[in-house]
Amino acid sequence: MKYYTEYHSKDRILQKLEQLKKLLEPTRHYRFMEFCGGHTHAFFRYAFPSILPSNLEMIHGPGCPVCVLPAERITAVIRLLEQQSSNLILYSYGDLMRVPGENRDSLLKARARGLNIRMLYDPLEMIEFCKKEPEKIHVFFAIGFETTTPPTALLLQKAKALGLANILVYCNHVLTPPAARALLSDVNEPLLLDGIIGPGHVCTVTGSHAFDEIACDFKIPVAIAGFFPSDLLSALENLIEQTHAKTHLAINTYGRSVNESGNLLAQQAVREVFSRRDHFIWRGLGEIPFSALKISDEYRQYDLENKFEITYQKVPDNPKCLCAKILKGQKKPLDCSLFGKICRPDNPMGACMVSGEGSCAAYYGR
Amino acid sequence: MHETIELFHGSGAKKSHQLIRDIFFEAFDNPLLKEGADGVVLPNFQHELVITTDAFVVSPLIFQGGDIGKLAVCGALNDLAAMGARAYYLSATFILEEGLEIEKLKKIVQSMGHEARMAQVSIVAGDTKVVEKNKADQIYISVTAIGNPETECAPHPKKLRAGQKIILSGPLGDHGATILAARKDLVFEGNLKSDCSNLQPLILPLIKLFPSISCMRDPTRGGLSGSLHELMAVDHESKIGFRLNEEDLPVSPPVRGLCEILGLDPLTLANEGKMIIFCDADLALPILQQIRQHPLGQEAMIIGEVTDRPGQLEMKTIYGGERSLIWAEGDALPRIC
Repeated sequence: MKYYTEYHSKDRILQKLEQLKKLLEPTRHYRFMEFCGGHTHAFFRYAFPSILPSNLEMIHGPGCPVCVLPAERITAVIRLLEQQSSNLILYSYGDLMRVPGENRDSLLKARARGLNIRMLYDPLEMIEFCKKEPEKIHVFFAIGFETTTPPTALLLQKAKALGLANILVYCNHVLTPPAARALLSDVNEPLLLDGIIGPGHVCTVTGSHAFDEIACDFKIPVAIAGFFPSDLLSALENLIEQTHAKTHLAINTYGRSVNESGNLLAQQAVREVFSRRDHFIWRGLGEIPFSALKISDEYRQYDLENKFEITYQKVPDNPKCLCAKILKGQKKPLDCSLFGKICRPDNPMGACMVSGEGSCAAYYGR
Repeated sequence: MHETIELFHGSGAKKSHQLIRDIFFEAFDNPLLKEGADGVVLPNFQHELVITTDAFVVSPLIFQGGDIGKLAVCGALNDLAAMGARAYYLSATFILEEGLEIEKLKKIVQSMGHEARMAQVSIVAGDTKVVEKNKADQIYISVTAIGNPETECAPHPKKLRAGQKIILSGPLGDHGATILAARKDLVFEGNLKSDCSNLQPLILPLIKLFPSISCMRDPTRGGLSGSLHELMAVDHESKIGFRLNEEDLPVSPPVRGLCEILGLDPLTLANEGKMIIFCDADLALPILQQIRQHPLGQEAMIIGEVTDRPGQLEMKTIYGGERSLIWAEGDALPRIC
């Protein structure tokens, strides 16, 4: 298969769905988690929850980068911008703009108040801005899993090569495998999963082997998957087969994009520019050791947290908000008393409602 | 050095007059405008009028398939078309940023003049103001269009009823995708091109042939999804919802490609040359056949129906699943990974 239309072909998908139904043992309940928010989004976009057999339950994981960013890290950078408003320009990916910080403030609201905040698609766009406005300090709000980390690394490598002194990175990059481990290690409320759909784009960078240890240590099958409907069904098929065969391998079902060792150039750039943080707080999941990146010593001069004294004050979530449990897969959006009533895409209380990749936003449009 | 707009061009002094005479009068060439009075008496007008007004702030000013001038004329004409009305006169207001190249202004104004002439409407009143550099983005245009209804029973949202069919006159999202790609310098195989066009030649004969068309709407900002949500938000006598068939929604391959890459939904992208037409079920096929005979409607489709589930915009997906489409929150924010 080569083209978009083939991966989306109605006949092919309906045929695969039939095969999947035949594969399932009718009396058995299956619980699979899609780790990645992109997969959550895709499942709902193709309305799979309404057509998959009812004994196949999808649990939504924490793989939405803006959802797991603690609110205090947004509030802290807005405060810094307020103090340094004549100096600093902040650049952010679009998804982050509406994520609520303290008192439901956001980058979008801060921009409306006059702070200099710009939205971009590609961090390398900043290089031109740095040259055009040399008197300003240009800060990139770096966020995301292994997928969005290489572009940040590239930005700093380029800045260094060009000798740019007016660029900083606010590093919030996090790592997938430690989060998956933390979820699977929770003994208080075990997820009782039969398998995991592994994040295809993360593995494009890391290589499929990034999930070998997890599959082995937790004795759980992992199917690394793409994002088209036929990809999702292939991954489910693999997980069902592995469940029946009682194997627990990390299988790459996204071969057209993922290979075993991943993108070595990207990995090299990331190793050069970043090092591991000892600990990092994830919204919902709490503190997870070695689960995030910071700017390496070699690139220290570009580290916002090194340049400025930033203090993080815990921002309390709405006590009724179930985002924490939803991110851990322990609750579903419909379990939350705020969902659809007070908490809506136009008025998100928790982070899961903000991004299209968040479980609550996906459920809202279901 | 290119000649540029200066604050004096909006001062009401000699420079203003020269600008208006050399650029606007020249391009819009008609006797009513040249009368130079504070207002204009519109001759030979029937007593029942339809009026609409629209503002245009697009960036970039010039894009594949059009420019802000063409867009301003077509946008206003299409609003009247949606009301089943033939446009006769336009007025236009220009807010210009100090420093705008006069050549660029000329090109845009000439494009407006051309589009108006093609549509056989006259731009009979106008105003120009200049604001300081950085107080506006080059040029903003506001256009008011005035016309007469072509039918005694003008299409209107209040005529929507459950069971009626929804027809879309062509593929979704061409304009929105083109603007987005131009802004980001994205190059796409198959070439994105805005659908910016005057729909009066498509719609007016149609409403003459099918005066019982219940409602029409041109899905500009917010796209198809936004327009349908707007219609549901209107205070109706009968509470209505809509149901779409994903399989029947026309989207061109380059638009689909751009949407896949940037994580956007073609249903929320702007269109500038499309009409959504609502009609009784038994008329849907004859209307569709009629639309398809016109070059602007060759790819028209029946895309869904009006339901009695108030406020619900539902979609049956290609694979037979069910989901609802929510009203997008502000601009489409692309997913980040």
